[in-house]
Amino acid sequence: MRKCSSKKKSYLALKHRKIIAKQTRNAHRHKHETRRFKLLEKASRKANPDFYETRDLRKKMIKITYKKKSYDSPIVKIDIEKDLGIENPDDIDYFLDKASTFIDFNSKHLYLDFSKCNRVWPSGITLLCSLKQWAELTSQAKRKPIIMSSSSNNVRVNSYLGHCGFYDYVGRKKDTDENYYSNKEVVKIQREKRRSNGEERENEITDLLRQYSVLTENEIMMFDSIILTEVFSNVTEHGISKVDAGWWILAQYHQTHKFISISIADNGIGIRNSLMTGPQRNEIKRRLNNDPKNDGQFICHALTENVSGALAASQKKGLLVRRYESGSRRGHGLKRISSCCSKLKIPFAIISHYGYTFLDADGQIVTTGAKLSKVFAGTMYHFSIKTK
Amino acid sequence: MATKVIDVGVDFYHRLVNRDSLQCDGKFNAVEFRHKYLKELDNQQSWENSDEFIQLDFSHVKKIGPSFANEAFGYFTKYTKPKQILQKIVCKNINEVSLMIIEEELNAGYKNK
Repeated sequence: MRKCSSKKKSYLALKHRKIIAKQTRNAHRHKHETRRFKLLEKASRKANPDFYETRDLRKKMIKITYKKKSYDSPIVKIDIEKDLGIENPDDIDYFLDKASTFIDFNSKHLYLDFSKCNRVWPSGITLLCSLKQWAELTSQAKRKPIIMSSSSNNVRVNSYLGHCGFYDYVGRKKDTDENYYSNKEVVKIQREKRRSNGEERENEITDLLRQYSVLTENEIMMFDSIILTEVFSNVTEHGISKVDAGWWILAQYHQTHKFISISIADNGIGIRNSLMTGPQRNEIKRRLNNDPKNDGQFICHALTENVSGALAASQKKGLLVRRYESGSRRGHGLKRISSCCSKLKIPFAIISHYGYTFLDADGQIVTTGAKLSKVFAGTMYHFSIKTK
Repeated sequence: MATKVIDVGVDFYHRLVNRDSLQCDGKFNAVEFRHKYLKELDNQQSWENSDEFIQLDFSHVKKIGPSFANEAFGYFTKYTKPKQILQKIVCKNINEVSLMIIEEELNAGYKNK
């Protein structure tokens, strides 16, 4: 042991006192800041009780929707025997039926058998990514379910799943190095880490449209300014951040079938939950019953009426005739998307949790409804654009 | 008073898409734009005449979204008609799609009544 001089001893004591004083100061500051924040929140709660009530309701809904569950049921095997996707109208029923069997699974192991599958369309890949997101959001850290998949007997399917970015997205090793597809024809699916990535993806999609679609420059500008802007605003706003920003996109030019398929999705609470926890909930409650069975009707309502689930959405006012005040107002988004799609003759579909709505190129609702189980863990927007 | 001239793409931003700080990355949003350039118009007296107040040059603007247009311009439909708004806020070098979006949002805001 070394001898400590009195000078050194006093120096150390002073240093110790300084550290203690600094820690005490920081603790006081923290306490003061917390109290100040609480007082500020209390004051603004008093000034704007509706906003805070809505915010609390939304937080509660997010907590309920993504409640951690135990994945402990025995292994489930799902056979994907046909084409998986909504791009071909004949496959829509199969897609919805299949999706409802595995999105809300409870097993420790989920096995997807693709051996007989001959095609997975971009919407099918988007669906599988939503399954991955759902499992990540609802499982406990050390008790994550294991999702496995077999390769397809068709090498082109395996090649495409690797090529479009799906295997990288879900963290699966590629089956084959053979590549049948061109990079120019796809906007690959990936883990979007930031909300601001939207601009980059929008540019990639418009480049794809310029190269292959039948749309004129003005029509592409309309598609970009109205449809892409509104869809990206929705998905980035509703995506729940955990592993990534909670939204993803896949666009593909299908040379043989002569169209571009664009799927954009988020892992949010869905259109019904969003509307029913928004400021306009009481107004909407009068028209629609808050039941998953009505998810399709909620989508139709959002497409045709000016309703919004945003926390800052306006409410109707008035004693005798209730109406919105003039001025800026949220809630036009889906209506704008749907009217622009019909102007540009683009078939459009929305799938949100239990519900789905498909519109044809003239903007008419072709199919709408809901399944008994979830068909998508979030909301997906799908567009099919004709090519040259 | 001389009319203000703003090169929106240079002085503000080339991508006008966010309504407020909650949308997308929340940067360069419509609320910020309105407060920065159109604050003087946020009262009934400013709309008693149709004199030109500001010229917005859109030559460097890449795109304008409906939400942005609704919040930045549709907001003023609580004071007056869409036509007068476009007389007071003059949009220069704007492409037809962007102008169509602004007009559509002005009409939608006015029809809220």
